[in-house]
Amino acid sequence: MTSTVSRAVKKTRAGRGAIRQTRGERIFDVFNVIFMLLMCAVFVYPLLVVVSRSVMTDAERVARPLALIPQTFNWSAYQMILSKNSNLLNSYWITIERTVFGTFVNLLLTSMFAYVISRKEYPPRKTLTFMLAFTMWFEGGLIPTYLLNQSLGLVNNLLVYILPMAISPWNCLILRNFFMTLPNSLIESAKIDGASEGTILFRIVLPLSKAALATVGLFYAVGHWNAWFDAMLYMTNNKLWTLQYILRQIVASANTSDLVAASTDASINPPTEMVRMASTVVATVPILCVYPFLQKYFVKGMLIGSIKG
Amino acid sequence: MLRKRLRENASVVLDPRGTVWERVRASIVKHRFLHLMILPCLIWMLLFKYTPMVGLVIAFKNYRGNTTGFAGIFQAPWIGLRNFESFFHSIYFGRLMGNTLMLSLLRLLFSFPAAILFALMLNEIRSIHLKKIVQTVSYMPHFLSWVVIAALTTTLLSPDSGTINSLLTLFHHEKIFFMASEKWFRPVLVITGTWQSIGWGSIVYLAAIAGLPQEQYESACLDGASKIQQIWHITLPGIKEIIAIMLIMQVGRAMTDNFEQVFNMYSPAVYKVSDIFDTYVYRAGITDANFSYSAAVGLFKAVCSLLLVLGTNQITKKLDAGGLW
Amino acid sequence: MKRLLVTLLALTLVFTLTAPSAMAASDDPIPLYGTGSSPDDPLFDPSLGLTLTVYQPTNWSEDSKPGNEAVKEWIEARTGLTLNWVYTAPDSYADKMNLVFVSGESYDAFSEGNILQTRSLQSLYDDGLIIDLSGYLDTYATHFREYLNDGFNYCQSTDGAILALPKRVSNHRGQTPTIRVDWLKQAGIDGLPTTIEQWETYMQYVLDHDVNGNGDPNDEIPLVPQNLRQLQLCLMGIWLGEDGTATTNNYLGEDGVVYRNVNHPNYMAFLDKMREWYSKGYLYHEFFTTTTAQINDLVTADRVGGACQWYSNIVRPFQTVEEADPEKSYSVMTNIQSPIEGVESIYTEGKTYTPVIMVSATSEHPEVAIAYFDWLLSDPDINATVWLGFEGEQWEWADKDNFIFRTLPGASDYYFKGFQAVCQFDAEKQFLYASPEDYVSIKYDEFLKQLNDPSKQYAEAFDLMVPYTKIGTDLEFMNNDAETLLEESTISYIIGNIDRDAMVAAIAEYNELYGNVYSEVYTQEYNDFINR
Repeated sequence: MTSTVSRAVKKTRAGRGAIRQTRGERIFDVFNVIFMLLMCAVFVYPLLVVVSRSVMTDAERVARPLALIPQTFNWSAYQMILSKNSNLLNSYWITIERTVFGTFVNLLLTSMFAYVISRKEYPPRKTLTFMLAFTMWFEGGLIPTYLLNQSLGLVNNLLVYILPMAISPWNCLILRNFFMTLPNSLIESAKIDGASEGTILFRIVLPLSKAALATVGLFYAVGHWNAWFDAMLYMTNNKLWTLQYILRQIVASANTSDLVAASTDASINPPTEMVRMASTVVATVPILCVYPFLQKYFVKGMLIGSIKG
Repeated sequence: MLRKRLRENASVVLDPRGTVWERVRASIVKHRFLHLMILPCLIWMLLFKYTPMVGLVIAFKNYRGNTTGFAGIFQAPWIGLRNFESFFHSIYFGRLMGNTLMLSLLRLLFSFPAAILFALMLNEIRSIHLKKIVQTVSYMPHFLSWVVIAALTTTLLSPDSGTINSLLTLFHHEKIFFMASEKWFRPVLVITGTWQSIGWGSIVYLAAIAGLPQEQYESACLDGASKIQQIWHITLPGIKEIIAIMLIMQVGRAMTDNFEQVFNMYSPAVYKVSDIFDTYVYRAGITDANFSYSAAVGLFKAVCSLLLVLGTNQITKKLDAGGLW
Repeated sequence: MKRLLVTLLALTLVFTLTAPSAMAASDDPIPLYGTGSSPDDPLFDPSLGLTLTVYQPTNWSEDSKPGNEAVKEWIEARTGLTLNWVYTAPDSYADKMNLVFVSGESYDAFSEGNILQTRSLQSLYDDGLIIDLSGYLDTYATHFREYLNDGFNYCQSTDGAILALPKRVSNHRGQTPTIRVDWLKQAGIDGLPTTIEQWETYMQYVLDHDVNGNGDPNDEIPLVPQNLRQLQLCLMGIWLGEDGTATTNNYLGEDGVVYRNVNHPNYMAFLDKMREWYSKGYLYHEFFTTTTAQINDLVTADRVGGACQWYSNIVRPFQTVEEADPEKSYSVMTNIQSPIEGVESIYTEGKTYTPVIMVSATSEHPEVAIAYFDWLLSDPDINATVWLGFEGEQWEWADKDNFIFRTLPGASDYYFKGFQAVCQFDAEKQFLYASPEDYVSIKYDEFLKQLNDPSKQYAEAFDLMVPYTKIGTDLEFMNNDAETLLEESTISYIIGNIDRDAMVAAIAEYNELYGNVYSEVYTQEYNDFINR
């Protein structure tokens, strides 16, 4: 018993005495770990297939479908995507800019809106919430939106990436919910101290909502990163295209003309499947690298688990 | 209307005497910071979201885009409910409705709780290292497009050379053509859908759990509560509001959610169980620029979604989990 | 009150945003300045500062290649124009053009892309989006008149207006089945099969034996159609004869009525045979669920005994196999006699010419666009330069008299083949042939020769030139039930899920829902067209 307790105590930061684990809970833990490892495999396997197919020749892929390690590595798809097109590097830059500034504007406006409609004492709260939610289902459609943005001069303008989708009702409602779980006493006492709503929002509420902001920020950022439709609609200037849009075009262009060799350098003319997989990898890997930096905002929840028992 | 709203908020201390306008003005002054804060957002919403809503009338008009700009929308001739009639009189209407709702219901029954369960289980892992790895890995499917996932699934389930069928033959079972089977296709959709969304869907719940106060757990521990009891009595109630809101929004997407997945995976052999509104309309195509038809279908779906949301909202409120409004 | 204010705000915004309407062609047509043969003889007067704006889908997104500017300048020097080409990815092109149409922006011309698959030429004209070119052709399109005059027949409106500039289709006999010649030999068949029975013998042999020599007798597939439509396009003519050219889905009944091909008396015989083949395993079981990429993989894996798809799709995936062992090869197969008495097999021929450039109604000077594309046809050197790059650097003549060119190494790194839309390279007269050594595989050349053999029985659909449209007819507001019903029933019948009575009933229901009105409308349009 003592050893169990001291083991449990070692795991907690607080160092308080903790209850020993029951046998059932230990079995559960083991099962949980095994289950999670299995899930990992299930999640990661197809992605590994995608990565390996991006360097696998056609012949090998048909001979060994769903194989993971190619016997020969063929980098022509990556060569094609990365080195032959300076527009791609440009679009990386555009997409990064868009993600950074766009997410910032998103979070700013969304948290302002979410904060205001989370305040119980605000009279138009319900109406505004309804008006916001309403837009999730009812929208004019592609044509009126396009006409509007066009008359606002947003065609071929980087602002079209940021303004029209500045607040996502979905994300805003999630954020509102998080704000509503914060204790009212905090805000009340700040008001008594004479703080304005702006101060309350930026100095008190937001710092306490890091997990929520990280979540919503992640959703927005990924949305920006993967966006291509607005690039297609509004940008005739190819210097303003986003990453995903260019990748889509590269995949489409991999179906080159039947008769005449698109490139007499046949080596840099990879088959479609490789190009499609490679473009998936090129678009996805940066995001997967960014996420670990956000994970610390979810850490508190993780610590809870280790304190128990 | 205004009076009702003012009465609702007990914290608004107003002079009960005075006209409506005076009371409203007082209210505006009292909440001036909040008004100011929300003003840019409100302008944004009206401009970018509500102005284009005039386009909703396209569903009732024969809009062909031959007169340009917004004027074109206003000048197009009215045809009233003709598009809706064409749509409702479809011999497949019942089937489309059934499939759309059924697929969303299955998603709700399986994918939705799966994400919550996954978040709970992930939360219980002791090793931070493992937790971080599993979390990151679990998002990966979300980033694969359905084109890619459909191709991988077809290969996996192929009656010709797929892994699953190889296993079946190993156990002397006959081969199953999953992707063309009316019996199996929906489960395939649900399973692949869950696989794709479970990791990403669990993020919100993990964030919510991160925000729960620790004291409750500590005192529950001291009282001898088991893990299951802690989850049931502390964690779940703690995040019930976020669950409610996610549920409402998931229900709200019931009519529109599955297009990418179904489109990339279905075939005429399984239209009966998987043809949904969006795929049906997609096949009709914007033929000869008949925007009105798809606008009408879109409007119909939106109305249904709103009704579903209102209903779910009521239910969650009754269950004391809050709602959207 | 707040809500009142915001409603007012919204309404004001709405009314201020009525965009200006489109501008029509202004002024008198600008006369040609020169012939565009050199910078000293530009097509249009450079001092006029004319701009040409063209929308085009591009299959080649690398429009940042080093040579693009150089070629553009070369063109601009000779035409006296400033070029403004707008590229969109092909799969989004139709959406993009729809928006361009509704917003009324001013541009000069656009390339067909895949727009005409969902939007008829006639409806574009009726909606006032494109103009009638007839008045301009004699002055500005002399070369089109000289070389492609027949093509205008495929670009007409119901009242004889000419709605587009045509291009010659590189190969209109592409919907042809292919078959493995080495496997035929193994099956003991001399040459290509000429009857259905012979073909079936071959397919049975492929099923039963290990023809690809890998030790597994069960992995070969006798016939792989790319999808249902390809199956119909490639094979229907064997049962339906001339009435089976499936490009327009119609045939002309003896009563002069235009019918959908499912109504043909021999159609069920065709479906019956497909069903039989599916149940015997001759047809690839997953043909309607797999993608083209997956079918290509089967070809690369040396498992496909025959295919129903565009003839050349088989070349690229099979290349590595064939290079390793030249004995292994495919041939196009167009010799099957009809199993039905009195019917002569016919294979589908598509359009010889197709509309490719439409001129916008919002263009200020339509003649500029027309003259530009005509200029491309004025000289094979010009044609080749705009298409390929500079002579001697990216390409050279292999046989100038016959207009055969050869690309030089590094060509596609330099320039991306923009600024043109009409170039084709296998047709007669002014058009260019690629030297066979340029082909990804010499197989293409072989296939083409096989297909263009005059002894082959090919026929064009009777109504390829008719500018059908659904707008303004009873078909306009019909829903998609009929097509769905047909598609679903046909597949279900072929794979054996429903029986013959159900299929026949489905066709009858199709007619009731849609087919009868379809026949009425299209017969009317057809008669209007031929009686014009």
